[in-house]
Amino acid sequence: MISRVADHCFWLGRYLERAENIARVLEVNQTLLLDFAVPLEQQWQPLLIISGIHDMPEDADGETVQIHLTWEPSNHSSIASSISAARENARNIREVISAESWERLNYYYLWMQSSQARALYHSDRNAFYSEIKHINQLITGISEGTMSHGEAWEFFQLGKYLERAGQTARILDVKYHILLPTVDQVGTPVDNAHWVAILMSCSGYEPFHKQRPGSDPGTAVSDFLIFDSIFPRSVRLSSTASIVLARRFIAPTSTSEAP
Amino acid sequence: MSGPDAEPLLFQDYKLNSKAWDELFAAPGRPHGFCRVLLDRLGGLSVREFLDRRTSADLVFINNGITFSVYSDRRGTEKIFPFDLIPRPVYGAEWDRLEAGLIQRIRALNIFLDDVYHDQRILNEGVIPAALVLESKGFRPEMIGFSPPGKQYLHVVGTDLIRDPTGEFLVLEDNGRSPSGVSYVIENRVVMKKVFPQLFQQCTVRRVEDYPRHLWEALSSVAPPSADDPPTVVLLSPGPYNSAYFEHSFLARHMGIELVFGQDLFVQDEQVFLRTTRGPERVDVIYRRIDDDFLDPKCFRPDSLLGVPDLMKAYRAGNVTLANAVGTGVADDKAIYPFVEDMIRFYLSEEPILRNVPTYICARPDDLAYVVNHLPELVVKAVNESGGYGMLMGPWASSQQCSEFARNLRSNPRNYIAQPVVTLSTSPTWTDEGLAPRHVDLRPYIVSGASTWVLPGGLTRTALVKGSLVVNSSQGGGSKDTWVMENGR
Repeated sequence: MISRVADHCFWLGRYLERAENIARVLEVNQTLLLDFAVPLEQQWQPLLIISGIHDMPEDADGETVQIHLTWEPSNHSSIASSISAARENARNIREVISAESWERLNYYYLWMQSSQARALYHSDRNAFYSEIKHINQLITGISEGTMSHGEAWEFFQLGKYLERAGQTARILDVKYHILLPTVDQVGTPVDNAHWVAILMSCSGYEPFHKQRPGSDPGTAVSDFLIFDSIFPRSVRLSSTASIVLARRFIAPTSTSEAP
Repeated sequence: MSGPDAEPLLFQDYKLNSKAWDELFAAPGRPHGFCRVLLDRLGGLSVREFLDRRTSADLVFINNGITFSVYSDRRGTEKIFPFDLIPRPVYGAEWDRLEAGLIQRIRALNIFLDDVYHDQRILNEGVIPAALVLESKGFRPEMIGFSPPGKQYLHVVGTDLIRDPTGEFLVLEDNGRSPSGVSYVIENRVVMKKVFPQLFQQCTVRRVEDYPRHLWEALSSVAPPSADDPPTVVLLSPGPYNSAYFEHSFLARHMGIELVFGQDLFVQDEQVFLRTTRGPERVDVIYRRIDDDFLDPKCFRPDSLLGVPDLMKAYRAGNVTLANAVGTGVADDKAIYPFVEDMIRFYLSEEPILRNVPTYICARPDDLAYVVNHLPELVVKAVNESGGYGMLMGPWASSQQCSEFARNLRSNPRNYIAQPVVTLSTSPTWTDEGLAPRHVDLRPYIVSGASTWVLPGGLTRTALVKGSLVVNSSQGGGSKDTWVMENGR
């Protein structure tokens, strides 16, 4: 396939996954704050740090940070920018992705620019973040069932897995930055509640308990999110899937190579 | 008078335009013979039923994103091409004559191109003034002495036809560079088949859906002799911000070939390669939808980012086929157009089956004098413009516009031609005021490789503004499905 098309497929997968994961991180943070009184600079600053944003004032409040990570067009990793970038990549390869996938992605791109999306953001933050997560889930599902599972699909998957590995690591980072680990806090109820919230943000609550019944959340959660071999969002599974795909791309084929 | 309960029927209030030929009606309330079945069925619809179907047709276009882009902002605004549900019929036997006329015309134009880039017999014998050809913007000296595979220059042509008030089809212009619009013909047909399934059987309409297959066969048939079997054919597009990007993507999908941009191709050792994830892959035929000027920055415009450096070297070495060939612009130059009938006589020793609209060539002093003195009766066109730009519609122009054009004409006569205003035929069209006659033209598509095939029908463009004779989509025109009907009685 054309290298440029492969590039578009890869970035389409990455940007869709990124939009979903930013929504996840924002949602986790919301949930965490409901239970604990945390000093202001520890509340939202970590989210900026893990997104690589260093130029916002230290006392930026929750609303400012959420707007920056959700809507800000100059922030290339904001949810709105990621969806625009995903759609732009898809637009260049309309003959490669399926008509149904394109139609849905286009729908959500237009929705993000509509007043309904803004209204939902203001009236029900959790419903808004859920809707964002649905975009990637829908497009991935539609593509799985309507697009040929050839190289284009594989590049789409590669983008998704690489982004996912990075983002799971980042979500763990939120935990690290919020509760600067003083040894005496480890194992306290607050610490444990944090780990549970993080599991839930990765849709890992039930799989974790099925796999490791009765284990103490502390180290077991990070171990699960990093090393589990069958949990779809673990760093290990996502990196392994990326490597398997990458190996396939460099495997020699029967087609004769031109000079 | 209809009773209070009777719903108005679709054609009940249709009033003919007395100055124009109507495509459906010979006289008020009296359809052309071949349209009787069509009108029996369509005419049985009430206005309300018709509008319901219209709504469902519009939805198909919106949901499928059948759009054209308008150059404005970076994102590229996408618009829907307005579509009218009432088909524009053409009688089968009449179409056969048109088809023969189009094939004859393309044959002559193709020989003309071969001639001007080789022996220039037609110039030497004074049939066409040499200066008109050699000074044409579309004339490419790089093509002199070079023969493209199969001596085929015009792989795809869209010829614009109009019908005058006597009912005769006339050729308005030949688009021999990269005519667009054929995807709308096919999409319009898909929508019509969904909305009026029974009508198609009753009227026996010729199929248009085979266009992509015919195009692929034509392109493959002119691959260089060294090509693989089947050859690797690609469609070269300027990218998603081009107004016809939808069509590029549509044709690539339907032919099952790669849609590529300039950056995807490179030339090495006079061969063209595609950059793929498996390394370079040889390309044999390029159906290019970008102008000559942008094809090769090393040969034409150096600032072009759309093209492929050294593409012309590979082309001249005979290692790749470009469709259409480079330099075909000289054949669709509006200043050359008036000579096409003479070309047919000169090269084929035949009488032209299709006539041109009478044309004044402003490069001729006598014609220029006549045009300047009769501007209010004429349509004046800049020879290198298309899409309805650079035009003066005399009867509707202010005296100020006329005097401004007169100055332009005198300072650069080579740049203009003029024609009497032909009142285009009309076809019933749904408007804000109900069903009303609107002017239409017709663009059939002629595809040539080892043999020539004409798409039955073509794009009918319709002016949506009352009385307007301008049908271009960039000027607010719409389109209709064209039905070549085998048997209308």
